[in-house]
Amino acid sequence: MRGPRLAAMVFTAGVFLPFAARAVDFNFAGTLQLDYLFTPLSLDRPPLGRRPFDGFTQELSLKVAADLSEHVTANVKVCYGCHGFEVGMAYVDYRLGGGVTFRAGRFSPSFGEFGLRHDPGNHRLPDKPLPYDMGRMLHLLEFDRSVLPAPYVDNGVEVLGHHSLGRAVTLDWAAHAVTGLRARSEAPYDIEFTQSRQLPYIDNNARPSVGGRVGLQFRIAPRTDLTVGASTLYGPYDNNANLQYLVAGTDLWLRIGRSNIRAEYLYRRTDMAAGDQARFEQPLGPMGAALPASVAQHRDGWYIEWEQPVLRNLDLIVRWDGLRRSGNVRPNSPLDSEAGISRLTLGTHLTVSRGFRVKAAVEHYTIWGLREQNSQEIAAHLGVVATF
Amino acid sequence: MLRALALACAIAATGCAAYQRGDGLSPSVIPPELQADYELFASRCSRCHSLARPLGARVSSAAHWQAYVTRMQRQPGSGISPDDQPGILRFLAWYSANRHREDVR
Ligand code: HEC
Repeated sequence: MRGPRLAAMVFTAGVFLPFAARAVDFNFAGTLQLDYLFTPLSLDRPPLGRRPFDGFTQELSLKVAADLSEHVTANVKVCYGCHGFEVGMAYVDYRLGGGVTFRAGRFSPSFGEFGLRHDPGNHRLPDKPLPYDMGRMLHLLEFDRSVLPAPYVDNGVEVLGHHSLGRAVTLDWAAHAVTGLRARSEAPYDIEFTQSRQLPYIDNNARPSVGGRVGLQFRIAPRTDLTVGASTLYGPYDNNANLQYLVAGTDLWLRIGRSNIRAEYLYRRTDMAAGDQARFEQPLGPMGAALPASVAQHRDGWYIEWEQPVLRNLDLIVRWDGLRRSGNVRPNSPLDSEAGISRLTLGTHLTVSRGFRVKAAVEHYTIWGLREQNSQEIAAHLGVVATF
Repeated sequence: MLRALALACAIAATGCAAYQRGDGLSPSVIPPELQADYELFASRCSRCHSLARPLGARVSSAAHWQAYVTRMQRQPGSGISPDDQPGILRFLAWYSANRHREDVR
C-alpha cells in the first residue's frame, strides 16, 4: 500500500511542483449540455430498434489551459458523452514568431469551420449539422455515419499560421500529420469512427494521414467579416494501408454585427474492400473480368445556417442541412445505392443568465433511398447548456 | 410533439419575460470612456463562443489576458486584428478589477 501511495505523491509533486515554482497561469473551463430528443412520428412505427432513440443525451467537457510562458500553452480537455470518458485535447502549442504556431499532442486537426465550434457550449442549436453528426440524426443505423463526425480528435503534429495581409485581409493556414482514421477489420466497408476514437494510442497501419486548411478573412466593414476556407484530410485507414479516404470541404462565414450566416460543404471518398462479389449487392465489374480489390463509396453533406439575434438574450436559428451516400452496398443493406437526408431546422437559443442557456429546435427530415420506405419525419430537441 | 413545443415556448417566454441582459454586461455599468472598448470586445469575442467564456474565465492579470487574446487572435478565422488588441485588453483590465461588483457580476 505504501509503495503506490508514495508513487502517487511523487507523481503529483512531479507534475505540480514545476508549475508552483514558476508563475504558470491556469484557466479552467467546462460545458455541460443535456438534450432531450423527441421523435413523435416514430412512436407507432416498429421496429423501434431501427429508429432513433427518444431520450436524453448528456455531453460534459472539462478543460484546463495552462499558459506556461509567453510562447507555450498546454491544453487538456476531458469529455464525457455517449462513448464514456474521452480525452478531447491534450496538446501543447509553441507560438513561434510571425504568427506561426507549432502544435503537438492530441487535438482536433484543423478542418472546416464547425470543428472550432463543436463544443455544445459554442454552437447554438442542440445538435450538430448532418455532415458532422455523431449519432444524433434520425436513421443513424441505416446511414451508419456522417461525413466527418465532430469532434474528430487525433494524435500528431500541426503547424498553424495566422497572417495579416494588409489591414482588411487575414490569411490562416494549417497543415498536419496525424495517426489517421481507421478500421480494424481486414476487409472494411467504411471507417470505424468509434474505434478510431477509442484506440487512441495505436496506429493500425503505421502510416500517417495528412491534411490541412487554408482560409481567408475579409473585413468588409468594422462589424462585417467574410471568411472563406478549404480543407482536406487524406490517408489509409485499413490495417494493411491499402484502402484510402479523402475528405475535402469548403466553408463560408459571413458575420454582420451579431448575425451569422454560415455554410459548409463536405465530401468523403472512402475505398471499400472488394475482391469478393458475395460482399456486394451490385456487380463489382463486367462478367468474367477480374474483380477489383476495392470500390469507392461517396458521402457528401452540407449545411447553411442563419443565426439571428432577436433580443439581447434570444437568438433564432434557421438551418438547412443534408447528407448523401452513394456507391455499391452490402447484401440486405437497408439503403439503396443512392440515399440521403435533407433536414430543415428551426431553433431558438435563450440565455437565461450568464453561462446558462436553453436550446430548443424542431427538425423536419426528408429521407430517400431507404429500402423500408422513404419518409418524412419530425424531431424536436429541448436542452439546457451551462458553461463555466 | 405539441407538448414539447408548448414546453419550449413556455420556457422561452419565461426567460424573455425575466429579461436578463444575455451573456454580456449591461451598458449602464460600463464607464463612458470604455463603452467603445466593450463594444469591440463584445463583437470580437462572441464570434465563436458566447461572452460567458471570457466573462466567466478565471483570468485576472493583464499578462494572462494578453496571452488569451493573442491565443484567440491566432485561432483560424478569429476576426481579431492586431489593432483590436489594445481596446479589448483595456476593457478586460477594467472588468477584472470590477467583476466582484454585484451589478457587473
Ligand atoms: C475564432 C474563434 C474564437 C474567437 C474569435 C474567440 N475565441 Fe475564445 N475560444 C475559442 C475556442 C475554439 C475555445 C475552446 C473551446 C473548446 O474547448 O471547445 C475558446 C475558449 C475560450 C475561453 C475558455 C478557456 C479555454 O482556454 O478554452 C476563453 C476564456 C476565451 N476563449 C476567451 C476569448 C476572448 C477574450 C476572445 C476575444 C478576444 C475570444 N475568446 C475569441 C475560439 C475563439
